[in-house]
Amino acid sequence: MNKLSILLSSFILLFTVQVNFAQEEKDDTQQGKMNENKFRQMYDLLATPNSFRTAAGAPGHEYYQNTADYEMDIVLDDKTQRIQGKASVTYTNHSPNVLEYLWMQLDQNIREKESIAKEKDGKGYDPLMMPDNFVETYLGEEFDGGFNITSVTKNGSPLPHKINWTMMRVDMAEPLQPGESYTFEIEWNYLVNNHVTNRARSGYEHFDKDGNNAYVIAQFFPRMAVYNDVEGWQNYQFWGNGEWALPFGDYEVNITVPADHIMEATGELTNRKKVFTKEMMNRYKEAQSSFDEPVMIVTQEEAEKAEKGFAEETKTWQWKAEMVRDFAFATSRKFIYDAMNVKVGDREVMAISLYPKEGNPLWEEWSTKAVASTLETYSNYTFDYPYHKAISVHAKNQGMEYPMICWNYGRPDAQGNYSDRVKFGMISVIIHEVGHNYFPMIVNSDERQWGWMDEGLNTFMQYLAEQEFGEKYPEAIKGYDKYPSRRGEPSQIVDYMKGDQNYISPIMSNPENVYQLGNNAYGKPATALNILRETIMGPDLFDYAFKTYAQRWMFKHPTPDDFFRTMEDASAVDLDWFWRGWFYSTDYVDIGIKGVKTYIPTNTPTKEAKELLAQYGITDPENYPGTADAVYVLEIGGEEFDESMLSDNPLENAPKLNEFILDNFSETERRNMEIPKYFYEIVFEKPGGLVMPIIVEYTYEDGTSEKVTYPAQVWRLNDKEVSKTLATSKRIVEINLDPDLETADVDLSNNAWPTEENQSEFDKFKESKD
Amino acid sequence: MILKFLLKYVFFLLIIAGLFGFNAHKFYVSVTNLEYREDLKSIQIITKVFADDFEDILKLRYAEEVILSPESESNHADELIDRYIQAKFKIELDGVKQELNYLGKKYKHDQIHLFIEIADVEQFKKAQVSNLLLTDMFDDQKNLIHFKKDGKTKSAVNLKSDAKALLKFN
Repeated sequence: MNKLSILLSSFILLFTVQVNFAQEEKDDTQQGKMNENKFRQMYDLLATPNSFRTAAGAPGHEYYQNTADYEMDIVLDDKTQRIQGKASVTYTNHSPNVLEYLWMQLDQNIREKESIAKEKDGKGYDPLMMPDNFVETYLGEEFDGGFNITSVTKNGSPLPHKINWTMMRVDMAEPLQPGESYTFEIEWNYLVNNHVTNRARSGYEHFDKDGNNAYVIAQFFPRMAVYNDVEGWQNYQFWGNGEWALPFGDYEVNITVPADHIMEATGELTNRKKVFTKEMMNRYKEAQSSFDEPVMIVTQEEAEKAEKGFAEETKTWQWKAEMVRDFAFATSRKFIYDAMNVKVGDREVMAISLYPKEGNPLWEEWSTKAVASTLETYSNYTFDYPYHKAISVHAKNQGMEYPMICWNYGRPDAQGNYSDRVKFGMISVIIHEVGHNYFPMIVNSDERQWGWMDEGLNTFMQYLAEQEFGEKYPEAIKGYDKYPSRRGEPSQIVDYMKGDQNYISPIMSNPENVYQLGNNAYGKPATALNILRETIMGPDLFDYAFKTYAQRWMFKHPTPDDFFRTMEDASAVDLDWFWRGWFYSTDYVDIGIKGVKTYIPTNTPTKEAKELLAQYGITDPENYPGTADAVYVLEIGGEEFDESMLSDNPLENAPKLNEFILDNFSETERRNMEIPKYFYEIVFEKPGGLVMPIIVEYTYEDGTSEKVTYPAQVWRLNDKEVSKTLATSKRIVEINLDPDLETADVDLSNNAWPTEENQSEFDKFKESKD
Repeated sequence: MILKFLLKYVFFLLIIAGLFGFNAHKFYVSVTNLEYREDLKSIQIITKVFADDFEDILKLRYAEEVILSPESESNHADELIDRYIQAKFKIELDGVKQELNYLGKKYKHDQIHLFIEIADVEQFKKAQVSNLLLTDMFDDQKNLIHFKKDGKTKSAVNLKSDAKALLKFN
């Protein structure tokens, strides 16, 4: 816009504001209110900063976290699917507080016979039941998968303890002083569940054809709970949705399995020479120098041969892990094993895959490459992957994450055929679960309380990693112009956000208390962050702040406040309105065009202007010294408008403005000056509760268009309606809101002017069928 | 042969039903957008379901191999889908049961969009929607409903345990 149009626009704006102000005065007496402004700062929602956590969102100078170290011997009996374990646990109190007792998590107790989790949901009778179902429900023998804790001791003497369902309190003889460690021993066993028939995050899959089991084992030992400055002991029971809060520590784990099993686990394999064959050792070395293609360490042929073995003897695999928050392992004689090296910063990391032959021909092709690609993308946006390996294990139907190792679905049919859907589903879940190494395995948020802190951030990152994977491996996305991501794009969350409010919870809800965990903890926060990056902050500011958060809280325990605060602290973008709306409420985006008025400039005072000026005692504005040269705007089509006023010379009705220009601008300046002919006032309305920038595309009569973004702050004084003015030399023929669908606007029918009847998706489909 | 197949799937269904565990990254949700088009005297329905679940339920109910995938779709896929829709999706307008015409489908990412129409619909005040697609597969299946009429949208959720949603338009 040139100088003149700025001048005119500001006049119109001033005029409009004053008229609105004048109307307000007519209202009756009103009640007062608390501060309800959507831009008010979040003092009412965020915790008061302290020496543990700063107002900047970083760990404070007295930040502490306790550690839990484990030495364990685990034996898996493949015939009975029972795990026997014994552990020596060392808990170290780095807090400034004295601890009277310790809390441990007994997650398997959610599978005990009398588990109250089975009754957590309301349920009616089904109108009809298959006889088998009836028997199963009312007469059947239930699976008993809880932990049998056989001993808890300190130096050989029994230690008092109390089990409260999925939590166990260990009562020490003396309280644990700050800076001190406490070591005790536990022995236990439990029956492993079939995770295919009994949906779970850990367990075994049984293969009828060859009689083998493939184990993906986690939550297999009593784990220390987190004690910290925000929750005290985090001992909220495990009801099934909210995952874990776990302290960091060092692990030494010996796992005994049938001698013909192939195993992977969290940590370094310290007796590789004993458990690998010579051939495997050589191939493993080869894989360490292969950066493009995975090297087969156990081939399909070898795995198929091993399937028939059923060894009676056993082998013990020894693992050592440092600074991990958990431990998991996968073992079976069915596993094929491949690996390659990937460079992450100046580190080298092994990308590894384990899968039964049922995963092929898909897994050998994409799993390890997906692991490697994920480490590259995530490391760029956060920090260099600090562990020495990342493993993807194929498990039917489930995707689940642990430090360095994860389980992923995606299986071809019995003939080895698979659709694009199965392929992309598999690549996506691998990217997602490997990505969880960053959130929450290293940026160790409290999953029990906040599902979105790891799932939302990770699903957001997953979108970026998927898109980069598509760019790196164009042959993987053949037939698509980009990787078909399921979550992340704003339009994909609309169906959820516009839904029945009775079935939507704010993102800031405990995972047990939400109606749709997928949208609540994954889809909506991921989309919100995507919008924040692309539309609100821009990638530069967002990426720097996001990386700052990841690096500040790497190997620590962040809270939501730490995330919200860091994103603002590192970017100088006030986001309180964004967090409040997107994370603390169930409001949705709906912005529309209410109306458009066109004006021309005139020196003749309009009726409206006269009334306004009269209030200030100016009754004859044309002769009043202060307003004699004033420019007024007249609405085209309004009461005082006359067709004859329209002319090619926009200044015809405003001779004094013409004189003003002649007096104040040089000839050269006037030649370059585009004198606007059209003066628009566009009224935007906001039926949706969420505040968002107004993104407008103006299309002119000559076919050119211009995209303008009015900041979200435009709504701070009026949350329902706002007007904007525009002076142009070309006629506007079309106005479109959010033309690139960046904001998750739930109703697009009010986004265009003039209102156009767009052919609906349904009409288009029907037409294509006819 | 068929009998064995059926039994296997019935078994699978039974075990899933009634257990509390869940799959960490899979959620059972569908979305249905309905719109009353007075100009066309029709109700236009688009239902979005997860393709893999939908394929599984067709196999399970009709004990037939069926592949739902744009690359290698089974010939009888549409016939089975229509049969399933007629069995599990019911709409009454002002108390009168309506006939749902399944027009076809589109694949999008890992979902299928089903296009369904009710023809010759005069103005009405109440709609009862009962969309139980996939609730015979998963106890925790949630079917979200958005019904647009005269510029206003009413939303509801159909669950196995709460199968009918009554939407009032005034």
